[in-house]
Parts: sequence; structure tokens; C-alpha cells
Amino acid sequence: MKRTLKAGVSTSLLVALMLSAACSNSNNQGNEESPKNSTANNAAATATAAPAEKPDPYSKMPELVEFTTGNTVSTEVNMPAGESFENNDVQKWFEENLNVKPKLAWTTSDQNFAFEQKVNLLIAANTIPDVLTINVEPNGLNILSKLVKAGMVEDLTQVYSDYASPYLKESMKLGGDDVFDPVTFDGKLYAIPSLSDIETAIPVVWTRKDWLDQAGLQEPQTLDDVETALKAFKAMGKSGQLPTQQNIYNSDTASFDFVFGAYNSYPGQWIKGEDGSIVYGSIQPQVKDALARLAKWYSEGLVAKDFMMNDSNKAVEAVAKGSAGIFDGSWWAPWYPLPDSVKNDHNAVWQDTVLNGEDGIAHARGYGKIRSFVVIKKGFKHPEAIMKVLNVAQDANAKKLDWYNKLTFEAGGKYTDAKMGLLPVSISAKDPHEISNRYKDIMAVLNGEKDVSTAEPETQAQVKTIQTYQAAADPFADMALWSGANNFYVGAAGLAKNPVQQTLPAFIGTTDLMQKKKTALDDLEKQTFLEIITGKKTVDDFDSFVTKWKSMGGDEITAEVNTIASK
Amino acid sequence: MLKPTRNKEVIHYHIMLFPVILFLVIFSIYPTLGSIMAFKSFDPTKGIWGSPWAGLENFRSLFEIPDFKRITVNTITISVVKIILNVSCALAFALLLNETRVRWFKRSVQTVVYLPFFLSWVIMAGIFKDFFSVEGLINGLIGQLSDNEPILFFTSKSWFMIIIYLTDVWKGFGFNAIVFLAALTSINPSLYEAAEVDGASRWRKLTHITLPSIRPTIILILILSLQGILSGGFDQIFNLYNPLVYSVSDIYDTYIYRMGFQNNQYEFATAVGLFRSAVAFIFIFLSQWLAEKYGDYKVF
Amino acid sequence: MLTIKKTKQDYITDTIIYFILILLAVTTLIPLFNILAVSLSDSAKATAGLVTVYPLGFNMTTYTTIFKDHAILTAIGVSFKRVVLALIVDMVLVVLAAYPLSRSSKVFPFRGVYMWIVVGTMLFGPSMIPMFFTVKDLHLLGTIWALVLPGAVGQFYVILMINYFRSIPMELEESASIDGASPWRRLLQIYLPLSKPIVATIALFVVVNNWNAYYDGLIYSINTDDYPLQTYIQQLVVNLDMSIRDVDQVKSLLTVSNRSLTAAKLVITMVPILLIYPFMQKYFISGIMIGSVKE
Repeated sequence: MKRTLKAGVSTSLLVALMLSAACSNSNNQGNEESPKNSTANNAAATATAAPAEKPDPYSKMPELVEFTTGNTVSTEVNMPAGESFENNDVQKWFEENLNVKPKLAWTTSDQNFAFEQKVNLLIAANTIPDVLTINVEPNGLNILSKLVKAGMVEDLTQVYSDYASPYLKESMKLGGDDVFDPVTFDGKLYAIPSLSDIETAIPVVWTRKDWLDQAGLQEPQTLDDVETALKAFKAMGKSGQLPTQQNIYNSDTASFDFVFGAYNSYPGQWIKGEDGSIVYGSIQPQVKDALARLAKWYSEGLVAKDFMMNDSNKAVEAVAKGSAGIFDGSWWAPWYPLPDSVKNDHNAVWQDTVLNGEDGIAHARGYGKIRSFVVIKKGFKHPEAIMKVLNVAQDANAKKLDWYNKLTFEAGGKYTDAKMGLLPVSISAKDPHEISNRYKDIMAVLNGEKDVSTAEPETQAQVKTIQTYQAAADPFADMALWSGANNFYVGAAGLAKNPVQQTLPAFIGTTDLMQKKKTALDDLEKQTFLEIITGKKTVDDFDSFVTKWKSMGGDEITAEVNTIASK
Repeated sequence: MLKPTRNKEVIHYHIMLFPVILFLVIFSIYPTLGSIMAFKSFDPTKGIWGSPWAGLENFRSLFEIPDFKRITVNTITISVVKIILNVSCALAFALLLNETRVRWFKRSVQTVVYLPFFLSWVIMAGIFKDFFSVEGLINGLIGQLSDNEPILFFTSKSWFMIIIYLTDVWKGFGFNAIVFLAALTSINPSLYEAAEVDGASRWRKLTHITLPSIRPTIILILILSLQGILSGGFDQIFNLYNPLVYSVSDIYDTYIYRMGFQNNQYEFATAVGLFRSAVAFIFIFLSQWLAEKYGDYKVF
Repeated sequence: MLTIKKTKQDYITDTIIYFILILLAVTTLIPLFNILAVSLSDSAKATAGLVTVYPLGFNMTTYTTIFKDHAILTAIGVSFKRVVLALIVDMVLVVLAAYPLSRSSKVFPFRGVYMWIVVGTMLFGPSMIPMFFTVKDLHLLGTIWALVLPGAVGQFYVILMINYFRSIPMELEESASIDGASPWRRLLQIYLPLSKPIVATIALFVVVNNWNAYYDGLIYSINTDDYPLQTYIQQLVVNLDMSIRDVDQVKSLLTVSNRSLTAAKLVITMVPILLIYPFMQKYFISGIMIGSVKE
């Protein structure tokens, strides 16, 4: 009796304590900043003061470290029954080997930037999770500068230098010396970036080889060839229209990026101008030529009359159901939308290439060097634990970990078709030209020019996938295997056919003036471009658009961008 | 004699109202006070109340939007046209329905035409986008009946606005007719009987009895509609529009949404909300005043 | 009423009127039948734009697909739960507010103050961010209550109900209060039984508004499993592009949409409204007429 009473008292005390702790947490976060700062500094000080304890990038944490994070969930998720992001074999490995465990604070749909919207709300409410991965698109760097200004994220300079694995550090260097610049403020590193596969930005033209063969045509090399192929397909009773969508540029699938590329133009991207200063791609004269071509295509019916009502998913319906035989996509189209095409028609044979431009050179747009970054909430006790997870993630993404490959990559693996990222928090730093280099390596092994055992782990893994696929009795039985094998074997091949000249953005991010004025400028641009393409305005109206763009604040923004970039 | 019981009853009234007021304080009054952030430079770590003041900076940004004038004109135009069309179509429908005498027919027609009012714009946008698309039903019929090219309903500025008005009327005319139908039933039947004895035609009855009798209701509805003049219907436009028709269809709410979406300027968005509320407030009082004066009607 | 012999012209006018009304009713239904037909048609025929108001290549595969889809079933569940809870909470609050406020200021001297609060909060509403903070601070994020409670007091419904209560003859109540019945008993035993039309009307509004809301589902959710059906559908219907920069990202991509399936999802979303609407319909005309007209 006495005992239960005592227990009761202490639990209620505990509850009271917890409650007050919770209250002070939510109310006084601003005030608590300084003490937290000092403890962080103390920790760093003790770490440096005790050299006997050399930081080990892969060692197990002495106690279980739990951290919260947020994630997107695709409606296509296909996890084994009873398992989830928090509960699966990959997570178990991290718990057993690093003593680190993620906890999902929230999830959002992966559509419509629902994730970015949630992040923004949570920042406003000052309740971000312990660890957060933010994409640079559409406005990640802007969010990061808000987080840093508000003092909500941890300075990772010391943690990175102490705990990042040598392999990760070395891989980061592949991005160049300035790779950390966008995530560095006042000389302090506030986020660990993931590098872009910049070749992923290259727009490739996918065509149905079986239909071209029937029509007696070669794979298209120029815009003229694309026109010929479309007309030939139409004569064969297929769709003579290019699947296209409302985002006419800077979109992965079914945009006009390949047309703009062919004219060496880069709308929507800040690029180095001829005089070395930074200029806005959309107002360059080359864009006018590309628009003229598109207006011609539209009037000739080579694109759908109401293409601007489509999103990419709607646009590629025609690909999926076997009426369109040519479309603009990315090298990873074997993951989307091609599986739907070959599922419906096993005879469909797709191939891709980068077109030669009007000047005979294959031009293509690019991405900024960073595609996403990981931040850690200010006051999180063990940033080094997260760094260790990132070290493993980097190895895993480079296919260096057998156990991980078996679970998530190889044919028939437990999570190969799970459609969900399973690393507690992920990062990837690879050679910006990883894809074409990897492709050459893979082909060297497949052609017997190189021994598998001497190849890098990633090459070995990809070769194994291709060989498994080639040996499969029914190549369409396992679509994940089909996609995995064809991604490099077919998709990446297209990047290697013509030597590609990529133009990378000279500036990424959002400036103060952009926040105020860019919406109106973007509206004007979208509207003018669509009106020119659909013939509501003449191509020459492009010139008055440029004048208007400049006067509506475009010139001011350009000046601001140049000032920031020159710093 | 009754007085003491009544005093006791007042306590019961307070008790009944207590939960309601509690809800309003928590979910309405308290967060509404948070609109003060329109005058602040918001800092997440300091919260709404602790953030530094920014004066009228956020409001100045609003008037500096390059398209401010165009959006204002659009918003008001769209609202006014919608009000006029909705009221006249609803009125015409009510008058037609009033002429029918077969009860089951009346009931069935009413049941059908009220229905769209209850379906969300998310759903309706999905349906209409399909219905008016190049492969949709309407263009399918056009293609079968003539050699004409399909009409691009969503990308032509004039067609798009027609679609906006048409679908708005489609969704609302039945429901809006309810008030008119109510007014029509309250007309004294003896007026019609007298007219019939005089041998008045249907048309004369309509113009001389029916319309004058419900005139106050018509005016009242028009006046009350003024309250929504700065809204214009976000859900409808947002779910249907595209860049080609921004110039004619952009209203405050859609523009702010796009702007907020790109930049997450919450103080700014709140400032716009406050501005809209203030203007709406003026219109509401104006319409109340007009309604009392000309419609002899008091809502509150 | 006098019976008047109809002239030939009257018959012609009548015919025209009936014809127009039938036409209106048909126009209202066509888009709905069209989407139903598309949802039941063969996907290829649907995409080719051949479907009008009856299905071509009839099949139910879209619906069987939906009923195997965990995400949409969860969303349907959330929406139902929300509607039921909102119906209970909203109705209780509206009735409790409307009854005392329908008394005259002589009987209830504080009526004016309360009325100001109700009307004032109706005209000046909170903006998104402070509202989000409130819901978050109450620890409601991700719960069904985040969707139910913030809009639970419908000021407009309160006003409708006040007007309706006032149309009920006072004599009924006075005789009851002489019998010594408390206000609670008078409300429950006299007023409510007489107020079926307005209760049904408001119930219909509450159900429809809660069923149709999508934005709060996006803002106040913690997990995708918290999305109500309209939020889920909105994510499908309005689609912005994302940008893929890493091979590992592409593996979670969607499969290509199909017109019939999207149509079927839209139909499913309309069904509950279509089901309850006819039952409520017979009350709500009289309910809204008396509620909105004040003598």
C-alpha cells in the first residue's frame, strides 16, 4: 500500500517535471539559445582538449541516439507488410552498428511541393525536426538563409572536419572548391550538401527504335530529324504529336528543353554572358529562335493544341499507351515513364540521344552543383551521430556496402521495389559526370575490356543487375529489374552518343528583390512565351518582352545577382 | 410574477453560451489578434509577439506589386460579373419554375439543379478540365457535328472567362434561386386572381405583379452580394487556370498564393489578408446600410 | 383558386417553359454523367475522347484498383470520421448558441454583447499562420480534431438558427415556462422538435463543407495518413512538377496516370454527397428560407 502510494507520487512528480520541461521548451526556445550555444562550445572544446579520443567516422555511439526527421511518402510505396521507414532491416543495421535511430516527426505527399510547404510552416512555428533534408529547388537556399539568420540550425564546421569520412571528403572535392559556398555563412558550414548529378539535367530525346526501323529512319540527330520522325509516325497511324506540358522548360519530362538546348539557349537559368557578367537566360536572343521553331511546330500540329493544360504525367499518357513514339525526357526515363510503355507493349524498343544543336554541337542546360542539403537543429546533442550516418549513406549510395546492395538494389532484394528511400538520412557526393563515366566503365566490363573484380563497387553492382536482367526468362516479370538494367544500358548510352556541352547556372538562389518582383516577371515571361508559341503573338514580340522585363525590375535583379556573385 | 424565474434563466443562457464563446476565443479571437504580424518583421524564434516591428513596410510591398492594378481590376470585374449573372440566372430560373404547376416535376428539377452547389471545386475542376479539354465531350461533339478545329477553352482569354462565368453559374444558379422562390410563394394569390379576371396575359402578370413584388428581394440579394466583392472565387480559378490566362483571371488570392508559395512571405500574406478584410468590412457595412435603407432588411 | 381555361397560347408557353427547365436539368447532369461514364470506360477509349454519357468498353477495373489502394481508403476513412465528429460538435454548439441569442434583449440583457462577438468573429477571421500556431500549441496537429475544432462554430449557421427559432410562436414556450420547464427542457422538448428543417439544413451544410475542405488537411496534417479525401484528390488533380537530380530519387516515381482512374477517384469523392443530399433536400429548402428571412 505504502509502496504504491510512493510510486504514485513519484510518477506524478515526473509528469509535472516533464510538463514544465515541455512548456519551457516550447515557450523559451529563443531565450535558451545562449546556454545551448555555450554547451555546444563546451562539447567542442572538450573534444579538442582530449586528443586521446580520436574522432572515428564509423564508430558506434556509446548510447542510443534518436533523432526526429521529416519525409515525403509516394502513393506508390511498396514496403513489405508491417515494415515502415522507422522499422526495417536498413534501420536495424544503423541501430546495431551506429546506435542511431530515426523517428519520423511528420510526412507529406511527394506532390505539389507539399514537403516544402510543411517545412516552411514548421520553420515559422520554430519546430523543425532534429534533422532535415531540403531540396535546393524551388527555394531551398532561401530557406537555409532564413534558418541561419534565425539561429535555428547548428554550425557543422567542426563536426564535418572531425567526423566526415575521408571518402566523403574526397568525394565532395569532386564538386570543386566552391561546392560548400552556398551552404556557408560567415565562414561557417551550416549544412552538408548533396552534389547534383549534373548530367541528369541534360534533356534527351527518346524515340521508338522499332517504329523508326519500320519507317526506314535513323535515330534523330537534329530538330529537323525530329520533325521527320513525327511526320513518319503520323503516316503510320501513330500520334504525330510530341507529348508536351505546361512547364515548357526546366522540367524533367515532356518539356521543350531539348529545343531550347538545340539553340544554345537556357531560359530560366542565370548564365555567364559574353562579357563575363551574369545574365538571365530567358531574355537572350537565342531564346527567340527557339520560340520561332516552337511556334512553327505548334502551327503545324506537331504539338498538342492544348499542351499547356497538361502536366508531365498527363503529357506522357500517350507514351504509356503506345501512341507517341518520341518525347523529351531524362536519361532515367527507364524508371518513368517507359515501364508503363513496355508493360503495355512488349515490342516497344526505346533509345535516346542528345540532339546536335543548330550549330552542330550538342548543347544542354545544367543544374547548380548542389541539389539538396542536410541541416541539424540547433541544440541537437549529437551532430556527430548524424555525420556518421551520412558517412555510411555516402558509402551506401556509392554501392560500396554489400548488405545494403542486397537489400535495396539487387534483383529480388527485399526493398528493391519499395519505392521509398530507407537510409535514415541520406547524402550523395559523386563526380558530376558520374553517369557517363560510370556508363563507360560498365560497358568496358561488359565488353570484356576490364575485369569485374578490379572495377569500382558501383560498376560491379550495375553490371550484376544488367547480367541478371539479360539472364531472366521473362524480361518483363520484374519491372524494377527492367528499369534498373535499362537505366544504364540504354538510358545512359544516350548521353555518350554525342559529346555534350553543358551550360551550368552561374547563380542559384533567391535574392531580396526576386522575392518581391520575380513572380510578376515570371508571369510575364510564361505568358509571352506561350502566346508566341501558340501564335497569339508574333515572334518579334519577344523584343518588346525583353524591354518590358528589364523595366519591370529585371535589370535591378540582374544587378543584385551580379553584386552577390562577385562577393 | 415571471421576473424572478427569468433572472434565474439568464444564468442558464450564459452557461449555454459558454462553450461557444470559449471556442471563439481560442480558434477565432486569439489567432485573429495574431494578424498583428502584418506590422512586424517576423522572426520564428521570437514568435509573433516578440518579433520586431516593421511599421507599414509589408503594406507598402503590396502596393508595389507591379501587377497590383491589374489584379484589382480583375478581382472586381470577375466578382461583379459573377454577381450579375448569378442573380439574373437564378431569377430567370425561379420565374420559369414558378410557372409550372406539376409538383413532382418542380421537385425533380429543383433536386437536380441544386446538386452542383454541394460539390467541391476541387472535384468540379477535375470534371470540367476533362469535359472541356481537346479530347473532352464538348470538343468531341464539335468534331462530330462540323469540321471545325477543337476550341481551346482554357487557353483563349475570352473562352476562359466564359468558362469561369459559365461554370460558376452552373454551380450556383439553382441554389441561388431558393430565396427568389421563397419570395415568389409569398406573393398574395389574390393579386393574380384579380389580374386574371381583368384578362391580363401571362407576360403582363409577370411584369406588373410578379417582378414588382419581388423587387425588394432582388435588390437585397444584389446588395448582400457586395460583401464578397474582393474574393472572386479562389477555389474555382486556382483549380482551373494556367499562365496563358493569368492576365485576365488573376485575382488577389491566386496571386498571393503564387507569391507566398515561392517566397513564404507570411507577414506579407497576412498584410494582404488584413487589407482585404478591411476593404471587405467597408463593403459589408455599406451593403448592410444599403440593405436596411432600400431592402428593409437587417441581417444581424 | 379560380380555374381559368387555358388558351392555345398558354399551352405553347407552357411547353416552352417545361422544355427549358428540362434542358437546364439535363445540362446540370451531363458533366456528372460524363465523368461517371469515363470512369467506367476502357482507358484507351476514354483517352481518345470518345466517351459521352455512357461508358464505352464497360469495365470496373478502375474501382477495383481504388479499393485496393491503401492511401485512398485511409483518406476516405479520415473524411468520414471528420464529417461525423464535425456534425456532432457543430450542431451542439450551434443549437446552444442560437437558443439564448434568439431571446429578446429584454429577457436576456447580455444578448447584444454575445451577438457582437459572434458577428465580429464572422467578419474578421484569422490568417493562416497564427491559426497554425494555435492549432500547434494545442497539440492538435495530425489529429482529427485539427480538422474539426477550428471551424466548429459556424457563425452563419448560428444566425440562420436564431432566425428560425424566432419564427416559432412564443405562446408555445410561454405555456411551458409557466409549467416550470427549465430553458434546457424547453430547448430540447419544444424548440428542437419543431426545428427539423433548419437542423437538417445546417447538418447538410456542415457535412458538405467538411467533406469538401482540402486546404486544412494539408496544413494541419502530420503524416500523409492524416490527409482527408479532398486533400488526397487535390494532390492528384492539381499537379506541379518536381525536379529529379539523383538516380536514387527516381525509384519512387509515380506510374503514369490514366484518365479513367482519375475519373473514378472523382466519382468516389462525390458519392457521399450524392447519397445524403436527396434525404436532406426536402428539409433544406424550407430551412434556408425561414432561416434567412427575418420578419
